[in-house]
Amino acid sequence: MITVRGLTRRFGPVTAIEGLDFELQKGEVVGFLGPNGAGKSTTMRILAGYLPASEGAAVVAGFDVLRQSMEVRRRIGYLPESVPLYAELRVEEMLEFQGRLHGLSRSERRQRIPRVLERAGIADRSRAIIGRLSRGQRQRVGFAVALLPDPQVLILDEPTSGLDPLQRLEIRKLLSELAQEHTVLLSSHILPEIEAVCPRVIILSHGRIAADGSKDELLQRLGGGSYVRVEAVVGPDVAGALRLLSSIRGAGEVRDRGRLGIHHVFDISCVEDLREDVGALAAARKWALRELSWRKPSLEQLFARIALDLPAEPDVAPAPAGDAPAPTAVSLEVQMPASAAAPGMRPLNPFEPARAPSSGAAPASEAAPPVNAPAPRVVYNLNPFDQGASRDLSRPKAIDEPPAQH
Amino acid sequence: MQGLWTIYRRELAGLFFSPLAWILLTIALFAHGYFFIVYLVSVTGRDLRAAMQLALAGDVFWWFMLLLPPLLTMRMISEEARSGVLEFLLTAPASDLAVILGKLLAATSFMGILWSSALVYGLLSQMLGVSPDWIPALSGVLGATLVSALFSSIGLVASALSSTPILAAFSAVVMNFIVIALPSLDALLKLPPGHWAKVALGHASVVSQYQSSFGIGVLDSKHLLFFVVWTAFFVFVATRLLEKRRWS
Amino acid sequence: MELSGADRARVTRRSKLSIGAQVLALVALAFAAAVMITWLSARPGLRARYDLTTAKLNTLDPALADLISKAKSRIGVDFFFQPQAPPLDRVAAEAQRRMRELLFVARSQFPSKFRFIDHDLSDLAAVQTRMKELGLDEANVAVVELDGKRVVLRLLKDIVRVNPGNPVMREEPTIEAFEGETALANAILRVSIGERPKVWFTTGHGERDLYDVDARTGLGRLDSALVADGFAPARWDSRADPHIPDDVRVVAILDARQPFGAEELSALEAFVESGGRLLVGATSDDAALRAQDSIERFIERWGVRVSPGLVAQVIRNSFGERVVGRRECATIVAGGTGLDPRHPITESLWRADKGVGLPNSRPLERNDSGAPPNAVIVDIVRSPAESWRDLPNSKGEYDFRPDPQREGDPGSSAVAFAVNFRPPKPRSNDPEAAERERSRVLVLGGADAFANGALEPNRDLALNAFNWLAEREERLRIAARVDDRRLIRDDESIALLNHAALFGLPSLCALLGGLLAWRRRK
Repeated sequence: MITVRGLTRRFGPVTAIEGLDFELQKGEVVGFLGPNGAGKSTTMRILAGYLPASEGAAVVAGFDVLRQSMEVRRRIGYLPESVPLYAELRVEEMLEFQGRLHGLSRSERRQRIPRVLERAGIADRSRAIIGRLSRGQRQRVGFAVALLPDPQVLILDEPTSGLDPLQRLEIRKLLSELAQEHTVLLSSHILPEIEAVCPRVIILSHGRIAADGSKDELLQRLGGGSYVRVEAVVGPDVAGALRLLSSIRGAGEVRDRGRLGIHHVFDISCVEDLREDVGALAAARKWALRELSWRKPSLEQLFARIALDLPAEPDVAPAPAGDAPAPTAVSLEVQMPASAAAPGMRPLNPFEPARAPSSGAAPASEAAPPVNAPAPRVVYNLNPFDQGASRDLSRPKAIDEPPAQH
Repeated sequence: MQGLWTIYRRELAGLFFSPLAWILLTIALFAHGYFFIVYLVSVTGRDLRAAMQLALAGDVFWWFMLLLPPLLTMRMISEEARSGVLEFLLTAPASDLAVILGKLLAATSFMGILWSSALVYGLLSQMLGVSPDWIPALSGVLGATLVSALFSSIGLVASALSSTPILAAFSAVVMNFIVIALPSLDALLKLPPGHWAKVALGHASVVSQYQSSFGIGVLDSKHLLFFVVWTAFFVFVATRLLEKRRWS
Repeated sequence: MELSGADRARVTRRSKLSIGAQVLALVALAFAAAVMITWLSARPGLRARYDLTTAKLNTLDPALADLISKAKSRIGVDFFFQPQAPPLDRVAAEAQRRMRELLFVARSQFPSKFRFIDHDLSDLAAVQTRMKELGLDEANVAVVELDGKRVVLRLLKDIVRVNPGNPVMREEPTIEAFEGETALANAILRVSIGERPKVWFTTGHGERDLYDVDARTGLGRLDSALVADGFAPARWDSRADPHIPDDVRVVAILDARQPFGAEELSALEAFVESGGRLLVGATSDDAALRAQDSIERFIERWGVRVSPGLVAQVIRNSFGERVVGRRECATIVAGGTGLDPRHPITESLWRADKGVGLPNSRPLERNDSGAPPNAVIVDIVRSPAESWRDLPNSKGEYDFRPDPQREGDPGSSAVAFAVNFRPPKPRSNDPEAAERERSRVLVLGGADAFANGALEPNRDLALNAFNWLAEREERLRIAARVDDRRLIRDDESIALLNHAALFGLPSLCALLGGLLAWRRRK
C-alpha cells in the first residue's frame, strides 16, 4: 500500500528526514515512533501529498505522491496532528464538506456521515459547532472526517495527543478496529498505544529509521534479548567462572562486565530464565551471590535509548561508596550521560535552544544552584500516565533541584 | 474543477457564519445607501440614472474597493495556515487553484451582494414610477463585481504572503492603494506627453478604465479583458504562493 | 559518496533557490502574458465597444464619430474650465459638465484618435504657460488642435446657447441648447481641412487694397485678421485674368469704383452660380454707384438692391441730447434688435450683446423679383429705428438731417444682407453632394466697415462673415445630445428611497445576520 524509497526532505539547511525506506502491505498497521523532530510528521505530510520530498519517491495506493497527488489524496485519510477543522461549522457540516470534496454523492453522504460519527463516538454532537467542542471531541471529529471517504490508507499523526487516559483508551479501541479494514500508519510517542495497536513499529531518530520490525524482532535485534545478570564473588579464577557459566544449558554468550569491589559481574544472554541454574551453580561453587536477576529490555527502554542516542547497554556503574544502596539498574529512569546535558551540545529538539537543565517554570536567578553544587540529575520521564506531559521528551526534567518557588 | 464549487460554498458559509461579514455588510450597505442618497439628491439633482451610475463608479466606490476586499480576504489564507486547516485543504482532493478560486469567488460574491443593493434601489424607484436604465445598471453591478474580483485576488495574494490576518489586511490595503493610485505617478513624475511610461500608466489605470466602461454603461472588450486578465494574474500569483508553502 | 554537513546544506539551499527562481520566472512570464493581452486588447482591430445605455449616452453622433475616425492624426483638446461668476455660474457649470462628458465619450470611443487635457487650474503656473502657448487670454475655452492647427471654442458662446434670463423678473439664465457636438465637429472640420481657404480680393477697379496699411482706408488689418483666423487672403487682378480657380472659396469686392468688364462679370456669375461665395461692400462713391454697369447693379440678380444715399441715425451727445446734422450720424451703430439673432454671422454678436459700427452704409433692399429660386435672403444688420436714409442734395452733398419730404419717412433700414441659395450649376456630379452645395452672397451697405479705421468694433462681424462665406457644405449641424435624466420629482419617493437605503437594507442585513447567529447558537 505504501512504498517509500530513499525519502529525503530538507528544510533549508535542516534535514528533516533522510533516506527513509519502508513498505506497508495492505492491511498492515504500523506505528511511527520517535521523539519530536524525528521526522514523523514530515514523513506523513509527504505521504499525504502536502509536502513534496526533496529526494526519493513515495508510492501510496499505487500512485506516486508527487506526480499523481490527486489520486493519492483521494485514497487516503489524513489526520494531521493539529486536527484542522473549521471552527465555525457544525460537525455535520464539516463532514458534508469533506464528503463533497471527495465527490461523494448525496445518498452516499447521507448514509456514511452518521456511520462515521457513530464510529468516532461523536454522533450525539453532530449539530454542535466545532469551535465549542473539547479537545477530545474535536479529535473524534477529526477521525470521522478522515474516515468519511472510506480511504484505503489512513495516515494519523499523533491521534491521541492531548487526550486524557480514558479518551486514549477509546481511541486505541477505535484504532484497533480500524486496523482490521484499513492500512494504517500512525505516529505516536506513546509506547503502550503503539504496542497495543501496531504489530509493527518503525522508530525514527534524527530523520533516519532506527528500527523497523515487530516488537519482538526489535527487542531481539536491538536489545540483544534477555540475559541473566550475576554478581558474585568468584575468586581469582574469573576465566574458569566464565567457562562454567557458559556451560549452563541454554546459556548464550557470557560477558564479563568487570569487577565491583570484590564482586564480579557477568551477563549471560539467554532466552529462558536461567536464574535457577545459575543459583544452583553458585551454590555448588560457593560463590557469594550479591545479585541474580533476569533482565528483559522493554520497548520503552529501547525507544528511549534510540531517542537519546544511548549505547545499547549502559556500563556498570562504579561501586557506591560506603553502604549506600546500589543504583537500581532496572527502572524507567535512564541516566543521562553527562555529555548530553553539557552546554553547547546539540539539543535533541533542534528548535529548542540549548539551555541549562533547570526547571522552565522557575526563574533562572532564583533557582540558580550554587556554582560548585553538583549538577542536578536529569531524568526523562517516560510515564505513560502523565496525561500528555511525556509528550515532550526533548525537555529534560531535573529532579534534584529545589522546587520552584511560587 | 473538482472541489471548486465545494470550497466556494464552504468559504461563503465561513464568511456568513462569522459576525464580521454581517457587520461589514451592514456598515457597507448603510454607507452605500447613504452615498446613493447623497448622489441622488445633492449631486445629480434627483436623477436616478446618474445616481445609480455614480453609486457604482463614484469616488466612494473606490474607497469601498480599497478597504472591503482586504477585510474579506485577510483571513482566508493566513488564518487557515495558522490554524492548520490549510493543511487539510491542501491534502484534500482539490487542486491549489481550486482552493484559491473558491476563496476568490466567495469574496467576490460577497461584494456582488453589496453592489446588488443598487439594483434594489432601482427596483424600488421603478415601483415608485421612475425606471432606471436597467441594462447599464446591470452592467455596472457586473463591472463592480469584476473590479471586486481584481481587488479580492490582490487580497488573497496578501493573505498568502502574510502570517496574520491583520498584517494581510494591511498589506492588501497598501497593495490596493498602489494599484488605484498608480496612474497618479504620471502627474507626480511630470512625464512628458507620449513618454512610454505615461502610456503604460494610462493602460494600467484601473479607475479610468472602469470609469470609461462599466462605470458609464459601456461594454468595452479591452476593459473587460483588463479586469479578467489581471485577476487571473493575481490568482496565479496566489496559487504559486500557496504552492510555496509546500516547497519551502 | 558522502557529503559533509556543510556541503549538504549548500546543495539544499541551491535547490530551494532554483525552485524559487523557477517560480519567479513563471510569475514574470505570467506578468508578461498579462501585459501582452492588455496591450493586444487595446489594438483598434481587436477591440469591441458596446454602448448599453438606452439613450446611447456614450456614443457620439455618427457624423462626429466619422470625422474623428477619419482624422489623419490624433485630435487634441485642451480645455480650461473654471467657475463662472454669478449669474452665469450654474449655466457654466452645467455646460462644463456636459462638455467634459462629451469629450470623455469621444476619448473612450476613440482612444487612439482623441485625447484631451483638463487644465483644472490646480497647477496655475502650468496652466498659464499652456494658455500663453496657445495664445489664449480667457478661460472657459476649449482648444481643438490637429497637426498644429487650432480652433478655439468658447464655453458660453460656441458650446452652449444661453438664454440670459431676466434679472428683473428673477429669471435665472438657462441653457437653451447644448451645442458641444456641433461646435466640436465644426472645429475638427476646420482643423482637418488641409489648406487654408483662399479669399480673393479684387483689384484694379479702385477697390480698397488688401495690403494698404493706411489708418482709415486700407484693408491691411483685415488681411492680418484673416490670416490669423486661418484664411489665405490674396489680391486678384480680375482684368488681367478673369478666371477663378475652383479652390478659391470667397471673392471679395470692396468699394469697386470702376465698372467690371463683361468677361470678369461672367466669370463672377459662373463662380457664384456654381456654389461660389461672394462678398460685396458697396462703394461710398455716389457716382460709381449710379453707373449702369456698377457691380452693385450686377448683384441685384441675387436678391439685394443697393439704394443710393447713406443711412444716418440720430446720435446723442454727452448730455443725452439728440444730435443730427453731423458726419458721425452716418456711422450706424447696430446692436440688439439690429442684429439677426439666428444668422450665424450675427448670432454670436447678438448673444454677447455686442454692437457693430458701420460707417457710410448704403441702404439695402430686398430684390425678390430678381432673386434666384429658393434663395434665403436675410437682412442680418439693420439700422436703429431713429435712422433715416440721407440723400445728397443737388450739389451732391449730405446734410445728415432727416427731411421726410425729400427722403421719405425715417425708419430702420437694412445695411447688410446675407443670401444663401442652391447653386443652379453645382460643381459636384454626385446628386447628394450637389444637394448640399450652397452659393452665398453677402452684401454690406458700405465697404468702409472693414477698413482699417473701422475694423476694430467690426472684427467679429468680419471674421464671422468670412467664416460663413468660406464654410464648406459639410458644415455639420448635430442634434444636441440627449441628457437622459430620470428625475424623481416627488419628495415622498425620495423620502421612501432614503429610508430604504439608510435603514431598510442595512437593518434587513443586520436582522438576517442576527437571526443566523441566533439559529446557530441553538
